This record gives sequence, C-alpha cells and structure tokens, in this order.
Amino acid sequence: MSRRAVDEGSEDGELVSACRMGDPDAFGILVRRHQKTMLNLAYRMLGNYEEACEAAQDAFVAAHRGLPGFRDEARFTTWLTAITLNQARNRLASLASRRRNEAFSLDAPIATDRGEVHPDPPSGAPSALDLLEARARKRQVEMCIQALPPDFREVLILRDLQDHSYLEIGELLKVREGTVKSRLARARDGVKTCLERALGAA
Amino acid sequence: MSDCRDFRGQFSAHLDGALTPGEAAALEAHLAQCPACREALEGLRATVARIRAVEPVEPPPWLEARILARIRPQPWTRRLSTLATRPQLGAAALVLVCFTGLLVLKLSGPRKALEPPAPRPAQRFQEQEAAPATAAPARKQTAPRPPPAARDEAPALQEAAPPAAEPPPPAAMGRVGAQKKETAREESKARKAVMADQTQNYAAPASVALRLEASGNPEEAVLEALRQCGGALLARRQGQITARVDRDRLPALRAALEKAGRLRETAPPDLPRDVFVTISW
Repeated sequence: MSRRAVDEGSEDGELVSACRMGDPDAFGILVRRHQKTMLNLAYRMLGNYEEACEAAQDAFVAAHRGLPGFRDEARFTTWLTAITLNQARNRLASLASRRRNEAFSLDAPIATDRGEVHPDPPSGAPSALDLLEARARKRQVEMCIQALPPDFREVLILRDLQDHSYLEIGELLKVREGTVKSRLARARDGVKTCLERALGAA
Repeated sequence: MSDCRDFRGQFSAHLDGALTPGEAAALEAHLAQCPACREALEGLRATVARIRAVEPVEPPPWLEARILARIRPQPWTRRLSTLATRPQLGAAALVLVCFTGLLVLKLSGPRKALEPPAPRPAQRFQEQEAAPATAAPARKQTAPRPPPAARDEAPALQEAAPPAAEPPPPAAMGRVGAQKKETAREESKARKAVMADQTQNYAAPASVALRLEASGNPEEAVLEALRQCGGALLARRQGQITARVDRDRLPALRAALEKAGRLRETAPPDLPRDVFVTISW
C-alpha cells in the first residue's frame, strides 16, 4: 500500500487521485478549499446569492461525478471553474426565462425585462452621509458589473475578480486570446461608463 | 489625434502588461504627448482598481455539508421518508390542470409576447442589454423553497444532467418524472412542483383537462380571463396556455372562460392552493 494519506495541505492533484482511490475525506478538502472561489464566481455571474449557492453545489456534485473521467490532475481548479461557469450559465438562462414569465405576469403586465439595473442612483438627491455614499459607491460597482452582458461579465469576473490569465480565460470560454482581450477591454470600459453615469463627477 | 481611439482600445491590455513590447512602446510614446489619453488611462486604472476591490462573499456554513451529503449515496427508502416529512413541499404541491380548447376557426394571430428574444449579437455592447442585478424579486413569486436541511435530495433533477449540459428540455423533464415509478403519488406531485418551480418549463402530464370550444381564436380571451384571475403565465404554445392560478380564483376563471366559448372540464374537488392551468385549443 503505497497510498499516501492526504490532508489539508495536500495538492489538488493528490486529492483528486485520493478521491479516485476512494478516500472519503479527499473531496471534502477540495470543497473546503475551493467553495468560496466557486461561489463568488457564480454569485457575480448570477447576482443572486441563493442561486449562486445552488450553482456552486451543483458544480461540486457534477465535478465529483466527473472525477473518474478527469485526467489532468494538475488543472483541477481550471476544470472546476469551467464546470461552475457552466452551471451559472444554465441558471442564468433559467433565471432569464423566469423573468420573461414574470415580465408577462398577468398581475403586473407592465413589468419589463430591463430597467432593474439602470445605473441611475436611487434618488436624485445628493447623499448626505459619507458613509452611506461610500457604501453606495461600492454597491454601484457591483451593479455595474452585473449590468454587463453575460459574455463580457464573465471575462471581467475571471480576470479581475478571480485573477485568471488571458490564456486560461481563453481556454475556459473556448475563445481566442484576442477575443478575451477585446471583451475585457469593453467590459472594463462598460463599467467605467456605467460608474461615470451613475456617480456623475463624483 | 485620430490615433487616440486605437490606443484607447489597448489601455485595458496595457494595464495587465499584455501588450507586445512594440505595442507598449508605441503606446507610451503616444501617452507622452497626449494628456487626454493619459487621463483616460488613469480613469480606467481607477475603475479596474475599484472592480478588483469588490469584496468576495462568504459561503454559507452549510454549503460544504450540503455538497458532501449530496455526493454520498443514500438508500432510496430514506430519500422517500425525507421527502414525506417536508411540509413546505407539501404546501407547494401543485395540481396540474390542463385546459384544452377546440379551435373551430383557426386564426394564427401574432404570438410574440412569450417568445424568447433573439440572441444578442456577441459584440453589441453599448445597448447594455444586461441581466438585471436584482434577480431576487423574480424568485419571490415562485413556490417556497424547501429549507436548507431538507434540500439535499431536491436537486435530483439537475443531477440527471451532465456537467456541461444545457438546461434540460421539456421532454427530459417528463423522463425524469417517469424514472420515479417506485415513489408514492404525493412524491411525484411534489416533484412536479419542484420541477415547475425550478424550471417553469415542464411538460408534465395534467391531472385534469379543460377544453374550450370557441369560434375563433380564443387566445386573447383566455389571456384576459387569466389576467382577471391573477394567473401567472408559465408557458404558451400553439393552442395551449399554462398558468398558475390561485385555487379560489378557479371558479372566476371558469366563468370568464365560459364567456369565450363552451368549457368542458373535469376538476378534482379538493385542489391545493396553487393550480397549474394549461389551456389549449
């Protein structure tokens, strides 16, 4: 038995191998290690915490199911990120269709699909409290990210919030590096424009 | 000055050090003699800094346990008992009512309202056809979610799909429902509720069928009737509409539909609070 016991300090690759060998604790370590990153990826994609928790759960369950066929142990994070991204996209699609249905709700026939993320501040009056304003400014960035079209948002999240390289992002999204570069540029410009519009000269 | 636009497209990559040495040198040379571009670059740098300062959210304490519980296979008998003791699910159980209508004079009127919008061109950015930030309100109107502790089994639906799969098509829904032959009727009802809640895209069998015989296209009349009864539209197909209505509003709906044509129905006597109504013609 040359199998080495794994612990919290083990590399992802070792843990993946241990999972395959039937070590019951190895996957738990992987979950603890990566759940926050995956949750945040899903959260920034979906803009909804509950949905993001579900997406992260589904992603780990799917990863666990896919482990027997997964060969590239050294790149577990990338693989898991791709799965999480997929789960988030699927949920985004179902959220969108739900919203369409809601938008058509016969109770409130005038609800529209847009407008909820309008980058206007909640009220035209200038904020009196600096603290509140700081919080609002923080929130505004999040809203502006959320307001990006999904194709641009995911590049921005992967680069600026999850620190992936252009190359990795290209692999994850199955697009060329040049596309990553241009989408990222437009996404950042989009956030900048959104913030300028929302905050005026602030 | 006409160069500025080209250079500004490179700012983002420049901040990441992702330009080739040649590109970077040309950009630096331009910046040295273009105050406007320098300012724009600083503006972008500040924006990126603000984006990167967005704080991550913490996972809920139960997330890990929930994941680990889901990957440990449970005997199906235990799943059943878990399900049976879930009051929320019982409350959310929905009866499916199917209205079918006979279209005597088929007028295929405009049917755009519920069609999904055309896919967005990938690079059209300025339009800002963005997903709303507040997805939460949309959730609130759906049936109550089971509590955390009891949720372990509920997403069986998603587990049926491979990691990279698209959301399952309606046909797959039916198949998932059919797999659970061994389960009690209550469970299948509850599963339908969960299914409908999660996807609003089900094609589950209806327990009751209503048929509207009208001379003309009763679609508008059906929509109007549903509107009057506070129905929430779930799906619309050629000659068929599915909506969720409150049980107490069913008589009113029936009455409204009868104005549009002759209604034939077989509704069960004791309907739960939420009723799925499928109307077709």
